[in-house]
Amino acid sequence: MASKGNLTLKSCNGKEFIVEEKVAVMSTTIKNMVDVDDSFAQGVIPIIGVDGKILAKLIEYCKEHAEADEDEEVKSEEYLKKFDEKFVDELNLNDLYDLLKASNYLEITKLLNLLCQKVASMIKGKKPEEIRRIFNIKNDFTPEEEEEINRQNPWAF
Amino acid sequence: MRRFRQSTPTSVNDLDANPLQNLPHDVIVEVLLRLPVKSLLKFKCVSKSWCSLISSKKFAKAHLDISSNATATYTSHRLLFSTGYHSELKWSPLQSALYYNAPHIEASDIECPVNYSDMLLIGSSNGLVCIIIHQKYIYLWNPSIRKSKKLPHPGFNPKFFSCTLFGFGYDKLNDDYKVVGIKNTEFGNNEFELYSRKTNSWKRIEDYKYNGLPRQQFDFLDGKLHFILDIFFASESKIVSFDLAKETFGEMAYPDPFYLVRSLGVLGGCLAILGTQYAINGVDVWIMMDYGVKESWTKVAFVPFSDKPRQIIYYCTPVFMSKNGEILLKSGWDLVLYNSKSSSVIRYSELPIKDNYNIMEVATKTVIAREFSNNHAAGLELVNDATATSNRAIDVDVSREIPVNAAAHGFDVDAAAAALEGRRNAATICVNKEGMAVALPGFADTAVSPTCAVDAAVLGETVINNVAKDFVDTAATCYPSVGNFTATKHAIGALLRKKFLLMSLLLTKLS
Repeated sequence: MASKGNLTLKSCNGKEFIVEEKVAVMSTTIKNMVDVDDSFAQGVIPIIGVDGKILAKLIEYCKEHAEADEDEEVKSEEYLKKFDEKFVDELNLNDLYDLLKASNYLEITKLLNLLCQKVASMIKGKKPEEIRRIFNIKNDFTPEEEEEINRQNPWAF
Repeated sequence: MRRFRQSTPTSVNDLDANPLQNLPHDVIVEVLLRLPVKSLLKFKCVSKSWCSLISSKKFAKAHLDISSNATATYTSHRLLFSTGYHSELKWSPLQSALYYNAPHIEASDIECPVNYSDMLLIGSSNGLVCIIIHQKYIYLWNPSIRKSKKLPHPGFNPKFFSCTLFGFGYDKLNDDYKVVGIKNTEFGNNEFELYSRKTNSWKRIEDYKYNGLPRQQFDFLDGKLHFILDIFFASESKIVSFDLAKETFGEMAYPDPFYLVRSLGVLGGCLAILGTQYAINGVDVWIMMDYGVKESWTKVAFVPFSDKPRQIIYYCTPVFMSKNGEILLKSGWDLVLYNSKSSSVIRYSELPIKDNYNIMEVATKTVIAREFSNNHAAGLELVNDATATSNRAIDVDVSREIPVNAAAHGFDVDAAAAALEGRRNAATICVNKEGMAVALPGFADTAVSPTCAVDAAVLGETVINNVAKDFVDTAATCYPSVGNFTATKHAIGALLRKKFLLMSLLLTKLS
């Protein structure tokens, strides 16, 4: 059991992590759980659908940012920026996807922003056809309709 | 069903084996909100649901908020440059002005919204830019999506050469875009009109009782438009504000009543002025830290002018201030980047508009691109941030010779240039430099104290006005009131457009 000020998080494959409360409550979902029900603060918080590897990544991110929020002197804006860059650069697509899903579910807004920005920069130069394949979207336009939409902003292509 | 766990793809180029196919819808929306406008327009044809999502007002608003907040690196801010007469338009990422060490500002062409010459930028807000064509037709323009919309005429008729000045801003309270126009009819009698995008109409504001002339620049901050008002026959000017929501006027004090204020602007979200006491080699930057509180005016920098060959460097305006305290000013044909923390100039970069055009007067506006009109067919509301620098040009081939001619006749070069532009402060500066009022032709041998210099300069403009009247029938008919230096300015601008060598004509006449 976690000592006072710490929380225990349990991944879906049974790995337990003891983290400081200020780190864990970077997640709005966890914060709400702890605020509403005191027993979570005492016992183990199950993190559904997130495995140990991804949870470790999440904690790594939250730890850096929670510490920076607390003391700007130690971890400057510049330091965080570099950390963020390295963090997203090292992700493979599966990790990126899992982290996106997990940070969305756990409402870790800062991380979700960072990851969405990463995906945006990956896809911004793609063609519409490639976008459909990346996100598995069915084109429900007729060729005429598609042409009409493209005609409105020819300079964008 | 595709299996995406078999390999570990590292890029979305492995199109068919990527896990992003299973992203929840709300995460995809978050991703789209972080795309540049150009990509969004392109992706409208991905599917019907993407098209309606991207076209929705709610999405546009959220996109604007995100791009406005992404200020750390200023990726969505742009500088907009234009020369009025030739309608040359360019824009450049703000980043390149801030971070790329180059002697020139790199900029790319952007298509003019309306194919006319003589286009001026009035102002911008949320990325929507207000322009005026031929001093007559007002348009709202969204450069990020290349769409524009013509506005109805104001009640007064802003004819060519007229003294009508316009300003543009966003009324957050009513979620409305508004344009104001001040028409100076005769001494002390100004008409003030207000346009609302929501009603798509103009109305007269009767409370406008100010006795003086607004300088040709409005700056938008915090729901209010601000301008410098020069008081008739007094060496005085003040800041007047107009609240777009309440439709009320207010006044604001300078840091020092005798301060020579060159221009007004917005730096780092605060009202800012550029001015000097006596210095001629640079300009002080003052910022009103606490809006409306006179005591909060703080001098944050003295920015020296460049030592490049003589140009009309006095026409300087604030452009932008970064979070790190880097200040961007326009001075003559340069953008000056100044580091207020180390109190040093980082670099002078030449403006991207070629120096064939004389960029004498500049208005600086902060821009974020955004929605236009509800009836706009595509319906896309916008998205991008920009800081615009509008350069109003008067044909250069002519005006460049003026200082030369003036100098040849023994007059003070800067005074001549200043008088030509109708700018009292610039004229005063040069007078202070000499310690006596040699401000203008006709007053060259009249030695007066610096405090009288302003009046001398104003009188000097009267002379020019009178002479100008002899040359420009239209201007003379339009502006019989002597001493109206805005009229003078327009008349002279008109002269220059017609390629007269005004100053040499003037000098001949006066000698």
